[in-house]
Amino acid sequence: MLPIREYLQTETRRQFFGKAALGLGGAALATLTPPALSANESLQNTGESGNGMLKSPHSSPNAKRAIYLFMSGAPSQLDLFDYKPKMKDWFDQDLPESIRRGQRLTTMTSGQNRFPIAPSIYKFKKYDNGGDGAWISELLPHHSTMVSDLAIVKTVHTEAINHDPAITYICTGDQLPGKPSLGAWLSYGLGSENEDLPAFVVMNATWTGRKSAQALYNRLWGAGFLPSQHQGVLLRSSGDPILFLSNPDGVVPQTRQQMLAALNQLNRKNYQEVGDPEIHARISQYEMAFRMQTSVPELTDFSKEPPYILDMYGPDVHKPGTFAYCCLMARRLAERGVRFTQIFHRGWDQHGNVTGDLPNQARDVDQPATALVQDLKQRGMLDDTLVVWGGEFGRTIYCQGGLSRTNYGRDHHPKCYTVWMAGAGIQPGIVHGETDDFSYNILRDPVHIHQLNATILSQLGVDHRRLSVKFQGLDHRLTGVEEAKVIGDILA
Amino acid sequence: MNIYCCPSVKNPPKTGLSVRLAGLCFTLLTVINLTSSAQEENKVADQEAYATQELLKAKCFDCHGVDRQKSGLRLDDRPSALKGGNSGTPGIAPGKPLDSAIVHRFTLPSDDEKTMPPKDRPRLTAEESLQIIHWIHRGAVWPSYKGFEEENSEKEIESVATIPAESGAETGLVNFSKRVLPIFQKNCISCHGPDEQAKGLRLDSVADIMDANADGLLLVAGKADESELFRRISLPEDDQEIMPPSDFGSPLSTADQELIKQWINEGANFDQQDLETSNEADTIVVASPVAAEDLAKLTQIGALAAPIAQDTNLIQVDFSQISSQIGDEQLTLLQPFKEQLHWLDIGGTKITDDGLAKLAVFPNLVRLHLENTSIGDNGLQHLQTLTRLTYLNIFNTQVSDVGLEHLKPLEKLDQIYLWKTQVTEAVAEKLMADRPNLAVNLGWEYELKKKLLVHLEEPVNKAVGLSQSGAINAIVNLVSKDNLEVAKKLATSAIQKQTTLEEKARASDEVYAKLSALFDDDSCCAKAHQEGNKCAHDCCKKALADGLVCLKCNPGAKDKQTDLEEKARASDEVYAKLSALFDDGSCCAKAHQEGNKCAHDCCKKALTDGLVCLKCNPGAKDKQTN
Repeated sequence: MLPIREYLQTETRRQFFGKAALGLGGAALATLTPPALSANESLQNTGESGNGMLKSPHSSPNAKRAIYLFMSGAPSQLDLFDYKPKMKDWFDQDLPESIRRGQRLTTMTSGQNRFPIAPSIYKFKKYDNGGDGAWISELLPHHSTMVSDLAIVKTVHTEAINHDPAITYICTGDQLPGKPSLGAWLSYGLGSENEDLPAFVVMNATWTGRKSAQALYNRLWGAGFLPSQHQGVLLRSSGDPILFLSNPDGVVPQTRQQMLAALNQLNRKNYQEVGDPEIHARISQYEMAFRMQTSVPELTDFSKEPPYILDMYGPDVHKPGTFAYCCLMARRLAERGVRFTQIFHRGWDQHGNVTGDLPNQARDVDQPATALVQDLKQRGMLDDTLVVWGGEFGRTIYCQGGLSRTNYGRDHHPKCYTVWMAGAGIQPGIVHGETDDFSYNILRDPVHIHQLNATILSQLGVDHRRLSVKFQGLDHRLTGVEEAKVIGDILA
Repeated sequence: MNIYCCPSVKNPPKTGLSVRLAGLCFTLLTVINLTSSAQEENKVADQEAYATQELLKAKCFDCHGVDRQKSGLRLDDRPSALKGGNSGTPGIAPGKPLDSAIVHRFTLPSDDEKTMPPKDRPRLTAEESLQIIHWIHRGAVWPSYKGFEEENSEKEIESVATIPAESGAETGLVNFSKRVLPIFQKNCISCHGPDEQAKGLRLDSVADIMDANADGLLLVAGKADESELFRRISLPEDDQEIMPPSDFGSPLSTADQELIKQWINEGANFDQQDLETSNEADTIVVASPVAAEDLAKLTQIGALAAPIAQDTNLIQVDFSQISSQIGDEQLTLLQPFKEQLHWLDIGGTKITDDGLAKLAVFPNLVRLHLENTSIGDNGLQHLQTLTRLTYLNIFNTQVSDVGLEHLKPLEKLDQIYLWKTQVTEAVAEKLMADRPNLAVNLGWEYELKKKLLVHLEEPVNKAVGLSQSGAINAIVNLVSKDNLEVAKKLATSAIQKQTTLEEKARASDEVYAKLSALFDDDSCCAKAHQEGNKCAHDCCKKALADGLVCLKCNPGAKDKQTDLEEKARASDEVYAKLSALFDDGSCCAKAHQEGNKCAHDCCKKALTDGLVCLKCNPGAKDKQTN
């Protein structure tokens, strides 16, 4: 492009944003004033700026909000949901080549001489889900009481075989870093229902399984090339729930407010000169942080939760940062209109010692996840809250490392794994898809992770094909370039 | 009986018709006046119905029947005939011959191009014309039209009069129910119909098709080429994905494919009548968008108020994030959205039973959140007019069994949330049985109890409160491992523990009730009691825990309390004496040894009378008399 053209284009853009800045600056000042002082002004403006880019969803939404329970590290579908009774007779036999069919393996097992089959040592039972029934392992006793509320999808698959690309892929729709995350897209598209809290909140829960767990990165809840106010806000479990949110000692709220108002004026001035939309993001983040100084302490105060609700989530709920604590927090966030909450629970990467670590991991999430779904349900919120449980890929039927009758390890397996969804127009009490006897290949109804994301968006009333942003010459969308169909069969 | 005369004819379809018909009308009037009783009229109507049907069959059905529908008009079934053809005028308007297109057409001069039957076919005789007019006037009774008897013919006439002209009729758009649906019914419904729903897809009714198209992929309005349905029917014959599948039938004819393509390209619309007969709540069509300034009044106070989606004028209003500032008066802000209000959330607000009266006027409201409010049974009676309501959340309200009675007219209701209400399990379970399509939610504990009951039988039957005792986790674990015996024991002991706790709470409530009578007027304790609380002073709390009234705050209670204490002491003394009379090994003696009093009704009664129960302690008779 001719430099002069580029300059002219920037100039136009700058003028455009310059105009917008006047509006936003006004909003900024007004919203910084606590609602008690000038409720009318502040809300008048937030009504405008709080909406997402779409203003309203493309189509009538089933879900007003979603909660994603992300099991980072890849839980073993073979020991939790995907019951393979025939494998008992295959103990320590080699995985047939007719099943593997040259499938790419990770370097952690590609050098193994053999691929001996490790049947799950856990007992499975078939539970009544109002339909054909659902098999659940003894590691998830609480899940077994809510199968009639779940759509268990056994045939989710992905292309990535290592954690970093795989988790980036499912969280942002691309294996390469830099794309906006699911929550950021939702925040961008639909905006927030509560001006005092971010539209996208992230929590990292503690775990009790394998201690050396896969790392998480900010980009998993990042905004990519979307304006950065759409990135997930991390709610910490110890100390201040949100870093740097409290006023420094000796600074009273009024001082803080005056300071921020002046800062916003400077930012606005700067914005008119440079026209960088990131300054917008900064202004709105300062505003949000100021409002969160009052909304967050109220949010994180569990003292008014009755004992029987705390008990429902299990004893861990009293320990900040546990998965149970995060699940209760997720319900409270949902009640307060937060669009998307994502809880990352790490430690599911059982390359070895499945029987030592997996029960602990399962115990961490079993009761709290069940309590979350059931608590939402009894409050009438499951009807418009989508809950998703799942990781970035599955695990292999063959053993990684030493195999014994009592212990084994499992490598990464991208070709099929289990995810469950509940609420918000998802058909309850079904099991979708079927894998082969080895839980290696999909026999029926494959669901690509793009389809999973397309379905999540669709339940929130967003047509994944029509929520896109131009970046580097391409209309980017969460579900990629190729067509990804909503999983019609699991919709109620 | 003089209901039919020329001056009452309004808006005849074409000027001149009334003049042409004047002669006929006069004759007709005479005929009607001759009929003497209603009974006879019915009889005549029956005969007429068959006779007229034969006549229409002979003269009209060739071109306006099951095989052909020239100009979109079909006369061989009543709804189609009433609706009329492409002209938009009802083919037959029951009770109103002058408004019926067919009467208009067969009374035209024989050389008129539009006359019916067409010029090349035999015209109707005067008698035949009169027969049809007479029959229409009497309500156009259809021999094969079931249920006509039940329908009040006057009502019928009225409703027909208000049926709007079919949209797009003038432009000749493909009519779904007449042209597309028959193709589906012929080719698709053996696998995608009532008997079988391959891939969960049904194509036999508008509601099902709209359901199947929830994701907008099956039918992309205006884009046949992007619609899955059209893609599948237009694939090459040897393609694996073609529909109907090759082993089930031949591909659709090119004509049928083209018709479906045209219908999708025209927007894949279902016509008005299909929408009306569809029982899907989300097919409500609201023509007018809301005024932005009316919405702004709501957003200004901090409510969420916005169209539900881009493709609808229906709106949602949510006060839940500013609930503490909302009461009955703010509901008046909803008035401009009479038609458009679709979802409403006033959970947690200060609305009252009376305030709910303001909600009675929103016919298109389908979701209503009233949870965590103080509304009760009286409030629910205002909801009876919300016949489209499908979701009602009244958890944590004062609603009781009585209130549920008011919800009977809400036939579309498919979810109701009753956790933490006064509604009893028995009544809720009856509701579940009576209305299988209504999901009644009584809370997680209730549901869990029902699930565990399958495994544990009796012990958990009373298990509400299990989670309070902290045992639920262990019980669920044991059940999942088939360790039912231990689970049962645990459940039983948990229930006992819970029962004891409850009894203690009840007992302390009873003590408090007695003590509260002793409070001095206007004391801190009395004030708190009036407000339904207990006094929070440390001194008062301590005294109450000891079963006493705080004498520092209620000095006047001193004497009364002493009386009470003396009585209690006295009764203790009496019991001490009586206990000496118990038979060895009797129920009373056993209880006494454990430091309790016997819980049998007979024994308790005897003790309050200062006697020993002789039924249980026959040996005490002599001693007692002594």
